[in-house]
Amino acid sequence: MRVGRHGLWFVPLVFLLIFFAYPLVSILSLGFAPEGQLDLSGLLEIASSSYYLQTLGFTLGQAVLSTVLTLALAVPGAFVFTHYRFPGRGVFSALAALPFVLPTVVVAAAFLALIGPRGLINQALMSAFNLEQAPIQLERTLTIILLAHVFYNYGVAFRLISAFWANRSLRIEEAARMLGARGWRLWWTIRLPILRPALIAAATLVFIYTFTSFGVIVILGGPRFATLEVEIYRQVANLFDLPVAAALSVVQIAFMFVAIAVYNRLEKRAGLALAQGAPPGRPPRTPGEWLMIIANQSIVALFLIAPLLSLVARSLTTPQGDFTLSYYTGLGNNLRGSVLSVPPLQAVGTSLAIAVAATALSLILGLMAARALTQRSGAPAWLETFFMLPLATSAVVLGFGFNIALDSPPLNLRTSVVLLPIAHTLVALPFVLRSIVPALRSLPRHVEEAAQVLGANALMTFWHVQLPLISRALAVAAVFAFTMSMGEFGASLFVARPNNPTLPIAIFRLLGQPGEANYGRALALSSILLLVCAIGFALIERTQPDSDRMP
Amino acid sequence: MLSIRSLAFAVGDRTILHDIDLEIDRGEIVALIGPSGSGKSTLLRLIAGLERPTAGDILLDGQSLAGVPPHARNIGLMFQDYALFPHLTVAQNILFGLKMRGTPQADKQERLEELLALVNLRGFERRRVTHLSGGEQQRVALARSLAPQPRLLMLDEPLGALDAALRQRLLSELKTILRSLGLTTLYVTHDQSEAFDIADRIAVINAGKIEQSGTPEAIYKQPRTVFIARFLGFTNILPVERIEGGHAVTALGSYPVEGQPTALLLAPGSITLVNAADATATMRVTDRIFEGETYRLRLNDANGLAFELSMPADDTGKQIEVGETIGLQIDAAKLVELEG
Repeated sequence: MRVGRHGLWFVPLVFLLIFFAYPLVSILSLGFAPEGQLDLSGLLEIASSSYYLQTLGFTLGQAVLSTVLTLALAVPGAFVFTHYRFPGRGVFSALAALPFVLPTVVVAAAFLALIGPRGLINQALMSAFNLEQAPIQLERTLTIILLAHVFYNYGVAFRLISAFWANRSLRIEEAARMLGARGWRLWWTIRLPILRPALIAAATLVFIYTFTSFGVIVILGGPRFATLEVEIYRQVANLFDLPVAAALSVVQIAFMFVAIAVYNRLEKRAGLALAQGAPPGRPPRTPGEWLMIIANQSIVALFLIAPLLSLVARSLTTPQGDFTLSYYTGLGNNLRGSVLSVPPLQAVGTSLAIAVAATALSLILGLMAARALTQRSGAPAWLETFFMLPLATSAVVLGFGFNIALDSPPLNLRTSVVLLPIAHTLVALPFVLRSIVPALRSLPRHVEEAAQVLGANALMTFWHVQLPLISRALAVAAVFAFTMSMGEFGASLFVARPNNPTLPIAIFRLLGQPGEANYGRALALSSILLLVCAIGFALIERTQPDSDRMP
Repeated sequence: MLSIRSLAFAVGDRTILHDIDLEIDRGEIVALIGPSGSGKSTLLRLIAGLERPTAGDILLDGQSLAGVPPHARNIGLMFQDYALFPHLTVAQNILFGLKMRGTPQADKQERLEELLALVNLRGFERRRVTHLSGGEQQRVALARSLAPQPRLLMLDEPLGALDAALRQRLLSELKTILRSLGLTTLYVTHDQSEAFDIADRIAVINAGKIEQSGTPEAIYKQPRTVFIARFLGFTNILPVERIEGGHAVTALGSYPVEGQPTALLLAPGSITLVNAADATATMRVTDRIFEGETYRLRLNDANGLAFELSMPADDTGKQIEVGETIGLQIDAAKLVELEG
């Protein structure tokens, strides 16, 4: 029995060693010692090349800008949410969290459908004023990249800050008011200092997400813009310069490990949680307060809904503005001369199959790991950190690692169908653990022992007692793993077989092609993906009425 | 039946239990009493197999339990927090142990009826355990422990989570059930009156060691140590300064002793109120508490001794005022010798 328990964490450990540590070590050895012995010239070349320094500068710059903008929008939202009680508050909170489960390609496609050259707004303006050219030229600008990043990260920052705020007594503010603090002084002397831990943590989290931004940059930014993540991809896919890609990956990995370590420390110290109970608040009293709430909520809601609505609307209309289903019906055919060698609909099937496999695999491994981690005599303490490590590795680095480590003996899986489910499992595993481990830890004390005393062996205890008791957390984990796999882009781009693209890759390829038919089909596919993810999201919100565990 | 031999348990270099010896006969109810943190629950966990002893052995029906996993021991354990399965109904909770053993459906149904009748929970089968009151949960937990007909039943503070009024009623119910089943039982509590009520025999545990075991009467009449005397609620304990020629010398005179006591217990009835002239000792009254039938007097003296004395709540008692000095006489024949 005891031996069996130890065997449990052995399985996920070996899995991570082969499919995570080995690729990562391959990258590191290629970066530090491309020819077999220590050779830092690759890294020095990057450090002295103005091109790569510019890339790094842009990566940092856009991440900082996105972070500042996100926080600037999220703080007022959190203020309204935590201080006032008004109709629609819960719906708003759910809406704000939705983008987090959306695939990058869907967000990028949605912004194109709204304000891209062929987007709804430009089409409307062109037909209204009889213009030849699209009047709003935001594609391939920093602006549209920042918009998409704020869209993506608003919910994370909003929920983190408002959860923290709701836990801090609003009485402190009342006391400050009684002592004469008003208006801006209340913000500067009371509110922002109290929020500081949450603000810093939210900023770190948004920074991490935007620092590794990939899909948004390649689709909306075009060739002009490159984050480290994008540059690594281009070095591999376009220039076949693996040593440079490895050197860039080393820089990326270093940044990520530091940022994640900082975040974990902040999270522990500040007791941050994304748990979202409805904070108390009071009904608004003055017309000014009503105005502030309505303005805040409607601006943000519009900002969050408009791209998604445009995506669906544009996938159903011709450039002339007529209703059509042709983009959807066309998904079954293989367009002649298309970049895809298969009908787009096949990509849906491929993605579904991969997502099912990845979900099953990550749940099985996650349960094994979580059980070992929560058992008293189970696993060593460092194991939990190790299982969470894939979180600190960006998707592209992961894909690149697969690319160089798993395509030659001893492990040649280059064309194997198992590669994508495995990659997606790695991406999903930390999230699965974050859902299951706390659930197992919060099981009522002694129930496991009560089952044992009543004659249940370890397996029976797990099956009859623990598993049913964590079923909600398990469902959340499953939906998370499924939606993450459906939308995974960065790693898939390296790993997917060219003749069998996944849904996000098919969308990406179609968006890169000229012609209304390709564009329309890309939006139709994006809408399908949006629907799948939105259903998953609704399931999570339903299962966990009082909390969710986003990142 | 159950025989514990030189059992020890340590976590790291912290010793929780040492040198525990305990025998329980078939059908006997033994209460294990001691303050919280004394190792009572740990001993139960060792017997159940939820912890592994660092030394010693536990035998059940003459067979060593070493290496037998908890699920194969068939020992019932009722947890202090009951540890009911929150996702199961009352009936599913009670039948859990039988289900694990693969008992046929018809037998399970029959046993369920029996147990529901026994703990007086007929009609509760389909209820969720989370919707039950504390007393009802306690009875479900009891029925669940009884269902697989364990060789030994262990109860860890079974009434600890209930309020005082309910506790008294459930205690007598529990007593009736245990007696009627003739089940060998180990009952853990920190409440000596509960132990006196239910047990055939009591073992007092302190700081990981069993200090004394015996019938409730024997322990009450002859507590072996100062700790046990205090734990049983005795207050009048007279420290021994030294032993001289078979006499224990104390602040209140010397008394003949047989052993080497470190203190003497002045049991109720060994102290009488006398005139200051005839007194062995004089003490000052610091408080007088009305307790219905009696007054309790709190006394102390210049040496820092603190005693308590019960007086009938009639005129004699009332005449003694706080601040007054009174004379006491100690009956040497009624003293109990106490060890460290």
